[in-house]
Amino acid sequence: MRSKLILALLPLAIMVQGEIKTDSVGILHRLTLYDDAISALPQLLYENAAFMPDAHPVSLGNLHGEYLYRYGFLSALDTDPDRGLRQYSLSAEAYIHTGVHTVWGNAAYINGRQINRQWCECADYNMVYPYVQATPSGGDLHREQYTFGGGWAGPVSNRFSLGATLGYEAGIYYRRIDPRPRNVTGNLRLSFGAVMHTAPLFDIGMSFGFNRYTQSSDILFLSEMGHDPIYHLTGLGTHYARFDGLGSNMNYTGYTFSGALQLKYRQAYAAVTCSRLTMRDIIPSLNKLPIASLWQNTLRTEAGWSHRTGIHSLGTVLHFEASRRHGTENIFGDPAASVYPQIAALEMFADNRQSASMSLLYAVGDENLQLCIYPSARIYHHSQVYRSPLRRSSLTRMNLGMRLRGDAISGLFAHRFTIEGNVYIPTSNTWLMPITDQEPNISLDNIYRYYHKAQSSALQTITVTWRSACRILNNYALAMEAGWHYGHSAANNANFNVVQFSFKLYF
Amino acid sequence: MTNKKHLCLTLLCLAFIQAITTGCNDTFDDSSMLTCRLIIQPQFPDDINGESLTDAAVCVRNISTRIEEYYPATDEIFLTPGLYDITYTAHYTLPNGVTSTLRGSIHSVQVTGDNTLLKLKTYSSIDTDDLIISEIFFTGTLQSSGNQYYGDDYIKLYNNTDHVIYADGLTLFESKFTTVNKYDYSPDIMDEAVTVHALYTIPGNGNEHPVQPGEYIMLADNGIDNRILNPNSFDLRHANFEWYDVSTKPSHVDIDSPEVPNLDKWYCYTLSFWTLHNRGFKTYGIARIPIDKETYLKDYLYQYDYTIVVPAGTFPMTGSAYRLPNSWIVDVVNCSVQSEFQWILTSPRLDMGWTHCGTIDHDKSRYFHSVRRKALYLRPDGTPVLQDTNNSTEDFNPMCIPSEIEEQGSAIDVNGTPCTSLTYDGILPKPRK
Repeated sequence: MRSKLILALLPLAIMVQGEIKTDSVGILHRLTLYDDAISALPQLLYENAAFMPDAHPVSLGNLHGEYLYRYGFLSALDTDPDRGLRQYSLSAEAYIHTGVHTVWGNAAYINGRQINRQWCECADYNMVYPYVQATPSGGDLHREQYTFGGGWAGPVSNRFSLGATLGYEAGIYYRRIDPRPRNVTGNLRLSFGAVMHTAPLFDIGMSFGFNRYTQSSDILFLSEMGHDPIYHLTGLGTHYARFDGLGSNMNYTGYTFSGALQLKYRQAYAAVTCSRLTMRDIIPSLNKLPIASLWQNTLRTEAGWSHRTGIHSLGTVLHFEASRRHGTENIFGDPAASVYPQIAALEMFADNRQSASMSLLYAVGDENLQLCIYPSARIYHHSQVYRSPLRRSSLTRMNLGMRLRGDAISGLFAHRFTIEGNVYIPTSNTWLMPITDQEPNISLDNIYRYYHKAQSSALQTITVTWRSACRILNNYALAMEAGWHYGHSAANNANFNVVQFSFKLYF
Repeated sequence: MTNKKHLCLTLLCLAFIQAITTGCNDTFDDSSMLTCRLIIQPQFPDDINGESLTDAAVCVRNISTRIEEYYPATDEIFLTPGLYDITYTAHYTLPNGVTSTLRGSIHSVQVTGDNTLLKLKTYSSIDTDDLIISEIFFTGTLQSSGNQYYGDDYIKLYNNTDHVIYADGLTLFESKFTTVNKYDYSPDIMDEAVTVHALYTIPGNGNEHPVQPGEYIMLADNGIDNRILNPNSFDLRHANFEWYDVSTKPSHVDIDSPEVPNLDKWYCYTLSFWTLHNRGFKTYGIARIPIDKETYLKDYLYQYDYTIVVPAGTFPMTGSAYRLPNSWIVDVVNCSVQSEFQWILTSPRLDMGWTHCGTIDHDKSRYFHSVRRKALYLRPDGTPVLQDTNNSTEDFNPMCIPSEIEEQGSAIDVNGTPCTSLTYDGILPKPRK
């Protein structure tokens, strides 16, 4: 599969290069202009594929090989319960302006290993939580991911532009010692967008998205002496006790429908996106027992403005996001003939998040030398509730950040240096958990208590990256990039480090 | 003008989307939880007056969460919708001044509507004046290689009374059905009999095998020194009886110990040799069958129908086994594991609960463990009085170190770690002589 993927990427790159080489701007300048500070400011706007021609001012493609190593628990930022990550990836990306049309595409292969993943045997924790299968043992989890995607955007008349995207991600996650999970995931994404040019420099856009997510998770034990129990977690340290040790597999099927509106007037824009995810969790080995389901509504809004005069650029973005995820556990009667009749459904789990942020941008410089400054502030609130017996966790924290980016082109070389610092300041937190005196509740409570402590404690992070690209021939550049991301949490004085190296061939 | 119209239209759409997304409750708390009212009406035996009862209480166990809650029996109970096991207990005083216990139990009660009325049949504790099962060691031991060892399982019976009881004619049986697979067997005979498929009887003319008060007798699989075959096992040459099967499969033959007499095999389903279910999915008991073997095997065959529903389809099935009337049964113990348990295989009159070694199927922690009946107190002569309330959940200590391992100081794990403890019931310490 890997060799086939690489063979598939090469002709894609050659084909794409054939289109891109006609661009009149040199490769090093395209490299800098591609993620130009002003163009990269909006995020939600480009979820409408019809706006994608504005995302990058120039065409660019790359072949990319990367190695990433993380040491340490990211619990202060993420809830995926691992203790580290090692992975490498090979990918190809292209974004092409061709006449009035714009096309883009990507393909990637990722191979890696999550280190010492605990109390979760499923993949994509953030997608399927809180209903995951878990064992007390855990261990390293190997992963292989395959990603393909692409899109098109272009005008269909003087007043209308259309755009569409299609993408698919497949993954396999496994372990070769007991417990042996084997998770296969698939994620199909489709979106369609339209923009109406109602007046000079005034655009209204509308887009729709569809996403189908599936995961089949099987756990196998080969030890003759027996095995650990499998728990079906239900959120905030709870588990479906009746099915402890039963059903070594779980199937997830989720659908996300989203709709978005965008407005753009000169250099100002506003966008709102709302989406609804519904997911069903089924244990196939118990006669397709529908053990739980969940839904999540998400609202994201963004408004921004930017202005460019001479060598100076100025911009600002306001972002607001709210999501509400509720989980429902199904209650079953006594099984007869191996069939569990459903007798009730109880909405037991809620996970609600809100965040608001404001970012500023100031950039100065020309195409050969540029410096950008991005200060930002964000406030984030996260609450989780399990209904009975009542468990509650909530926290609010502020995040102040500053990013500096410098670009310089000199002769055959282009350099980019980025440094970013963030400070997370907790402002409030609540923790309510009943006292338990038996396993696995003690271990599960400790895990969630740790997460809560990590996310409600002060955190400082710093990120430094350096990229140097060298022009070879006329339309190619070979680049090397290195990055280091460090975090220090006041919770247990925990640190994490992420280092990253990559080689890229730009064209 | 056109721009204004578009702007208004867009803002309206935005407001609509926001209303959809934020219109639901922000979170919920336990006060908004849907609750159902459960009213329990206990039905008492004819000779017991409900007004004379004291300490009446109800234990409600949520099967989904395994959380137990206790309520006074006089109150109505408010519960979240679900499936519950409900146990009623109360005390009453006999005319001779002795206090006895009244118990009732119903498993898998669906509480889903606004009001659930539950009529709960209660039983007074039955004193059978006979031997009781004090220990079942069904899990077996492990060899140092990690492989299971078959052959050292045993069952101990105990004289809990104050007089001699003869074990002659007592029949050890194993249930046909398992506690982890529930089917609607038709006809349903559970109120009258237990469905069995293995019967082994202690030989004798009625006066050959006396059991003194406070004495045990042991029925073993192989009455041999099992340490020869598995150094992690123990010696069973002192067992009182062993069950022996003449195997029809040369590759699977039983061991007939010359030092231990065999039980009289009435019937067993297997063509090789019988061992106790080493994951503990069966029900074991002892009975006194008042008729001879031939008559029993001729007249008490039970044929039944049931249906298996699996993803591949629905399959009507038939089966046959023997039925053992409840009135013949002296003692019975239901065994299961938490993760797989589906039902109790006996009438609640015989046993209202179940006991276990391990909590899941294939639990690797189950080996070297047995279930042992709880000791209530010690007599002046140092022998224990064991608890017998016809509720194996209450009467047995699960996951105990077996008494034979304790007494012989043999291995308690695959590494051969010797046992250093000695107890009456797996919990209550016993002084070494």
